[in-house]
Amino acid sequence: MANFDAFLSKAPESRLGARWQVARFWPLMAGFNGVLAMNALMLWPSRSGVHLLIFIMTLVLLPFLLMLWTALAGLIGGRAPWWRWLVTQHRDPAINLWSCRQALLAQASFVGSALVWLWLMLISRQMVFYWSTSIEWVSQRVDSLFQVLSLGVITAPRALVISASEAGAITGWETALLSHAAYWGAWLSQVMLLWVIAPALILAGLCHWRMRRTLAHWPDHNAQLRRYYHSLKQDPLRYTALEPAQPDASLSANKLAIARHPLTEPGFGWLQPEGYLPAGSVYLGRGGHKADEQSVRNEGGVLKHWYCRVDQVATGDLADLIQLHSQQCDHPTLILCVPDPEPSELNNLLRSWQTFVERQQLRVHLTVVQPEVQKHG
Amino acid sequence: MAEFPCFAVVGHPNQGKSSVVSTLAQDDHIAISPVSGTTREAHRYRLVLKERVLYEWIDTPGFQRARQILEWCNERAHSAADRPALLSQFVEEHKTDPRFADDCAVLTPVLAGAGIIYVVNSSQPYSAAHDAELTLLSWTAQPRLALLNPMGPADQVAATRTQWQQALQQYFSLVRTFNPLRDSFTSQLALIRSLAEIAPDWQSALLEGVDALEHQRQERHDQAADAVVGYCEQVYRFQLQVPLAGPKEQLKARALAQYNAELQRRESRLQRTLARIYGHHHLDWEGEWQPLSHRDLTDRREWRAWGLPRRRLAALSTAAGAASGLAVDAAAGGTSLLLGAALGGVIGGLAGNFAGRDPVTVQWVEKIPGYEHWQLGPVSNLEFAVALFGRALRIWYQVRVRNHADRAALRLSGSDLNQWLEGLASRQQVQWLYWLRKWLKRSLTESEQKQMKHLILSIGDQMDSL
Ligand SMILES: Nc1nc2c(ncn2[C@@H]2O[C@H](COP(=O)(O)OP(=O)(O)OP(=O)(O)O)[C@@H](O)[C@H]2O)c(=O)[nH]1
Ligand SMILES: [Mg+2]
Repeated sequence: MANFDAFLSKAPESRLGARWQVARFWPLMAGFNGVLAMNALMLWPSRSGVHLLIFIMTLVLLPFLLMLWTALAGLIGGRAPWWRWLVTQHRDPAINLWSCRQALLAQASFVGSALVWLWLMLISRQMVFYWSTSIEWVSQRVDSLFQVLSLGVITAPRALVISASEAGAITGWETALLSHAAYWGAWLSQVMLLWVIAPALILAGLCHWRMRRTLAHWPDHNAQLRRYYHSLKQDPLRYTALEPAQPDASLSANKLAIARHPLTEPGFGWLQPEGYLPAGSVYLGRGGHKADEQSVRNEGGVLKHWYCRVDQVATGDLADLIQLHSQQCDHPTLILCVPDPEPSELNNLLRSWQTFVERQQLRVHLTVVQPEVQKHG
Repeated sequence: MAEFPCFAVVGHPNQGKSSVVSTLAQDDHIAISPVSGTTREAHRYRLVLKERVLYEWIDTPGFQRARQILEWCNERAHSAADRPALLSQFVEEHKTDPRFADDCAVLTPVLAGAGIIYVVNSSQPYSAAHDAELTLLSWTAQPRLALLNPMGPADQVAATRTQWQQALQQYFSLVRTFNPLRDSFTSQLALIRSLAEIAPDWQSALLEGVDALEHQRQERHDQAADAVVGYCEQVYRFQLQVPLAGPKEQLKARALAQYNAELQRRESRLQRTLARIYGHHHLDWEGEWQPLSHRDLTDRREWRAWGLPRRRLAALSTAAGAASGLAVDAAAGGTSLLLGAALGGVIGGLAGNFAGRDPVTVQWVEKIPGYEHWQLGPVSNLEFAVALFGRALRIWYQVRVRNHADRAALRLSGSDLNQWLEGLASRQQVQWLYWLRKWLKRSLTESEQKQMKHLILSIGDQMDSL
């Protein structure tokens, strides 16, 4: 996962799945609904024509109010349309804005497809636009309603045409109105564009822009995704091991008993302080290796013991000397001296010595002694 | 010299060389054991920043036969100038000799131009073998630093100290003490800085590494605090519904057990997340956690161990209750909050927010006949909430202060939530409890969570300083 964009492009597949797809095609479905609505308007309330007031209500006023609501809630209130929670339960302002944008696009698409369908119908068949109402108050204000809808941007329909379109105003009205069909079609198209399609598209663009801006500071907004992202992201700074890790060594685990008695036999002392061992002992490990070898050759026939402090680190030098000694003496004894008080890690130290004897293939008896009385040679 | 800084960590066997590398390279895969001769080959660890190598550590086996090598070279040397060449010759001739395998593995990178970090357990006496090692190393012209790693008891360390100081000062311009198991991240960086000091050619890469590591560390803390916030949000708001038939009371007990299991599942997920953030792969949480852990999280005795002392909690709680959101947000009115806290010590004990109630809301829901069920959660008891928080922070503490060389089980000593909190300004303490109380009522918003995260980060700083 190289960066956030790659991560985000994967998000729909990995986490949201099918419901995400439905939400993506939301505007398309709205477009289909627009065609259905337009068809319904041509059949109801009268099969003979399209009722202007109902048309304006369903394809201008209602979508306009919905659009206004969605945009205000989304851009100012930070709230998303109702269906947003069906897509995902993630709390994320970016998803809110995205859903808002989809909703606005859906509204534009609903009205837009109705508009296209309207013109297809105008071209391919006869259409009649009329209006009628039994409410006196409305009938008196139709003129000004149309005036308001025109907003001064487009030319309002002429009063003559309006009154001519009132159903029943003149006999044989249907045929007479046919001549106004294209006129009404043009005016209604402008109203739909002006009130719904254009503002919805602008607002959707605004939502989109806001969403991009949110995404730019995305980690600030969505804790859940941020944690998920961090768990997948590879740190640019890291240590790499060039060789594979060494498996843990298998360790020898024989238990060694600790004897408690004074040291009596002289022997080779490895890194022991002068005077610590019985008289006649030879102290090794203090000078050069060659000198030590010489001492072992000289005394190897007589001495049978090796004395080492248990907390000393055994090295190859010692192993070589013991090997040399084994040539003269069969199975010398390697005595590990435990100091008093016992070191806290005694067991580990003993294990370490056992491993040393095994690895170097030394033929020695390994014993552990805690010297009780120190002899002075 | 190599194109990037490269340091071989060398020394006698069993001195903690691998431990030093493990801590510095933040790698807990490296084999470490009390048995001497654990490391058998040289292992390299590179610090890479965006595909660019900053520097490299090399873990090596210990010297086994330094005295013999020294004698071999001395026999053949006619003058001091020959020695480095002879050392190369020795390695060349003994490459395939199993007896000298370890020594050759140590010398090869050093002869190839790596700097030297000589690690020594300074509680052991100085010996002829050490002398031979130091002499061999001194023949190469690489930058070198000695690390005293005092592994033994303090009195032993003190006894051998001057001996070591004197010996090492002959060969090293810089001698430092470093404990790979305990020393903090700051002293690890300080160590790398000292390396930069002795190797001027490599200075910039090393210092760049230090900066990058410092930055990464901060980011890790940030992510960890974030993870803790996410965890709290999950467990505090968690609801469990148990639609089972049977006697009510029995069911309630079973539901509580299930709730408890769920909390623990989330807690172990937090453990894994935090361990991953700090690059620990082999932490044995069972062993780590056992001494501290009581299996039943909802057990009241358990809270005592993890949360805050009652009086303190009561005081803070009252102050937080008196604080308005505005005061907390604006971080103003610190003193008046404190006044509240003082009063709270008296009144707070009576405040019903946490005295002897169930840890979580437990309701018998019977909206639809035939579908009655127990509903557990969200967390309603402040004391319990604080205890859960304390545990989460303790987990964080565990991985935060732990060095990668440390393979032993948990250290019990160490400070706890109460001490960490004490290090904060009183205003922050009250703020912290304010958000916690909010949390019991509803989910925190993104920006509130961010404020909580900052408080947690401040608590984290206390962990380092204590
Ligand atoms: N108490 C204590 N133990 C330490 C310290 N540093 C290392 N150890 C222990 O010493 C033992 C040896 O450590 P390693 O890092 O394997 O030593 P090494 O030098 O790599 O050993 P080899 O690879 O065998 O040469 C391990 O058990 C470590 O846990 C320390 O500072 N204090
Ligand atoms: Mg090692």
